Amino acid sequence: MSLLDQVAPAPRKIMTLFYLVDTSGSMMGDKLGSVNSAMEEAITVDLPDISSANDDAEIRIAIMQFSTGCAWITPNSGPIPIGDVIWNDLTPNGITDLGAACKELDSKLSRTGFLQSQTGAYAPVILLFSDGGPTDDWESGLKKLKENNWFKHAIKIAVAIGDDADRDVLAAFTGTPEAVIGVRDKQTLKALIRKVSVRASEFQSHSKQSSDVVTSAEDDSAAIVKDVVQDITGQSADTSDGKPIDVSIDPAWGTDW
Amino acid sequence: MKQFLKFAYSLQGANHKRDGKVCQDASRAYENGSMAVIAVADGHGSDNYPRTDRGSRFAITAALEAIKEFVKAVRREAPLDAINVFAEQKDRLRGLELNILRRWHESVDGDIEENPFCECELEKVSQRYREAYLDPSNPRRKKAYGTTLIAICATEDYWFGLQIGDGKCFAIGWDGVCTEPIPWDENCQANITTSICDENALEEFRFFCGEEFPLAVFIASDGVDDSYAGDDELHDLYRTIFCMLDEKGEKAGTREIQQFLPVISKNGSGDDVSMAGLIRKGVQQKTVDLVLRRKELSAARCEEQRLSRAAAVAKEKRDHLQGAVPGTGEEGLLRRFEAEYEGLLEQLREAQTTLKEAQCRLDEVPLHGTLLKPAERISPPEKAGEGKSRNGPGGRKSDPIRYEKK
Repeated sequence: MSLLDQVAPAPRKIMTLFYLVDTSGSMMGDKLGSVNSAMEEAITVDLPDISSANDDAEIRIAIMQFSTGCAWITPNSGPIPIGDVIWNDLTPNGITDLGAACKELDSKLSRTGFLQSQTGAYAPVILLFSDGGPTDDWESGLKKLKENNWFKHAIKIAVAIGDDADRDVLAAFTGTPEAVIGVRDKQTLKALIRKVSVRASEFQSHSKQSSDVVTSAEDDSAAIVKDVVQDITGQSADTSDGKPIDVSIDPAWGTDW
Repeated sequence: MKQFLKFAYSLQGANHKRDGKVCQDASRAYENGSMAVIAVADGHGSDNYPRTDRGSRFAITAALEAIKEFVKAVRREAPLDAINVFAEQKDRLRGLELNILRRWHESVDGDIEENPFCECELEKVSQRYREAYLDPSNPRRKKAYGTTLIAICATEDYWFGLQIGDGKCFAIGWDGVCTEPIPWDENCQANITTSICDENALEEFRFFCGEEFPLAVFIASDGVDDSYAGDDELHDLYRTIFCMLDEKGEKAGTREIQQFLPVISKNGSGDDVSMAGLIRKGVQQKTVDLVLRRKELSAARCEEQRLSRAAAVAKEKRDHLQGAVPGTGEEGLLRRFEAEYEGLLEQLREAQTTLKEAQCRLDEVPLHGTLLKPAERISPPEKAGEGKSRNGPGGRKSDPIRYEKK
C-alpha cells in the first residue's frame, strides 16, 4: 500500500444554494402557503436529484427566513446536504427586514462563515422569494452585501411573489431587472424553484474564466432566467425592455393565490 | 546543479475525459548546471476559452525561457548579492514578468496568424466572445488562450516563485512546517481567476523570493487544490509526497505520483490536474522523521476538526426535532439523528485521543526544538492555521521578500 492512499481526496467541489424567503405579514395567505408547499416538494422530491445528477459539484443548501429580523432554517453551523433538510412550514408575521437579511447573508458569505472549508468552492446561487416592500434600512444592508466578493460572483435570481410585488427592490438585489421573475400561481412557482435551482447549479459548476470577464454574474443570472422561462412556457422570454419577466403556466393565473 | 529531485505532470481531468475536452493544463520541470525550474499552467475551462490548451503550453515555454535569461543576467551582473538584486530592484522582477507576457503574446499572435479562428471551434462559445474572436482587430481575441501560471526557480544563491491566477504553491521548511510563500490573490475566487490574458496581467503577478531553498516546494493547478477541503489537507498531501519520495526514491516515487493524479481528479475535482515539485536530495533521516510527525499531527487535527463540525451539525439536527410527536415521520427521523450524533461523538473522542498522541510523538522527535542544521532554529510545534501568516519557509538567513500584486 502506498503512503499516498492515505491522502486520496474525498470531497467534490461544493456549491451552495441559498434560499432567502420573505415571511413578513404581507406574505400571509396563499403567497407564503404556495412558497411552503412548493419548497417542501422541491426539497423532498426534486432537489435531491440535482446533487446526484451533477457530477461536478456537491450541492449544499442554506435557507433563511426574514421578517422582523432574520433566522436560518437550516443549521447555523453551515449549509447541509439536500437530504438532511427538513422543511417546516413557515408562518407569516412581522415586518420585512430585508436589510437585516442582507447583513446576515454578508456575514455568512465568507471563509469565516458558511464557506469556511471550501478551498475552491463554486460561487453560490442565491434565490430570493419576496413580495418586496422592505421596512428597514435595506439599502445600506444591500450596499454592504454588494461589496462581498462571493455575492458579486454569485448567480442572483429573485422571484417576485404576487401582483403587488415591489420589483424595483428585487431588481436592486439581483443587480438587474432581467433576473427578477414575477410569479402568480402555485404551479409555476413549483416549476420555477426546481428549474432555476437545477439550471443555476449546472451553470455555476461550469469551469473557470478570467477575471476581466466579458459577461458579468448579472448577465449570467439574466441568461438563466431567460432559459428557465423559455423552458416553462415554451416561449422565448422577451427581456429586451430590461424589465422583470412574468411567467405563468396556469390559465387561471392571478386568481390562484 | 543536481541537488534536486524534480517532477512535473499534467493529466486530463476525469470530467474532461467524460465531456470529450482536451487537457488544458501544462507543466514542465527543468534543470541545468545553474538552476532548477518547475512550472504549471492551467488553461481556463469555460467554453468561452476554446484554445486554452495551447495557451497553457505557451505560458510554460515563455516562463522557462524568460527565467533562463533572468538567471543568466543576475549571475552576470550581481553574482554574490543576488538577494539584494530582488530587494533593491523590483523593476528586475517586473522585467521578468514583462518578458514572460511578451513571449506569451508573441506565441498567441503567431498561433492566431497560422490558425485563424473558425466557426467550427466556436460552437459552444457565447455570442459576445464569438464576436471578439472573429474580429481581427479585437485585442480580446487572445482570451481564447487564457491561462494561469505558477513558476518556481532555484539557484545556488537564491530562489523565487511567481504566479498569476489560482493554483497553489507550498513549501516545506527544514522544521517540517508548510507555508504558502507566494501571497494569495483575493481576486481569484470561485469560478473567477486572474489570468495571463487579462489586460492588466502585469499588475496581477505576485512573487516571492528568498535566499535558501527549503526542503521542498510543490506547485499545483486548482484541479488539485479543489480536490481537498482546505490548506491543512493540502499540507498533509505534500508532506506525504515528500516522505513517500524519501522512502521510494526518485524513479518509483515519481511513478507513484503520476499514478496518483488520476485518483485525485476522479475522487476530487474532476478537473485537469497538474503538479510539480522540487525536492532537496540527501536530506537526513531525522529531518524526514520530523516531517512525518508533523504530517501525522496535521492529519489528526484535520480529522478532529471534521468530526467536530459533523457532530455540531448532527446536534443541531437532533435539537431541531426534539419534542417530535410520537407516531409521526419526524419521530423516526429524530431517532436517526440521535444515533448519528452519538456515533459522531464517539468517533470525535477517539480522534481527540489520536491528536494528543500525535502531538506527543512530535514532541518526542529528538532534535525537535534544537538545531537541525547549522545556525538554524526550529520553530515551535505547529498551531492550527500554520503557514498562513508566516512570511516564508523555515531555514532562511534573511527575511524573504513577498511581493503582492499592486
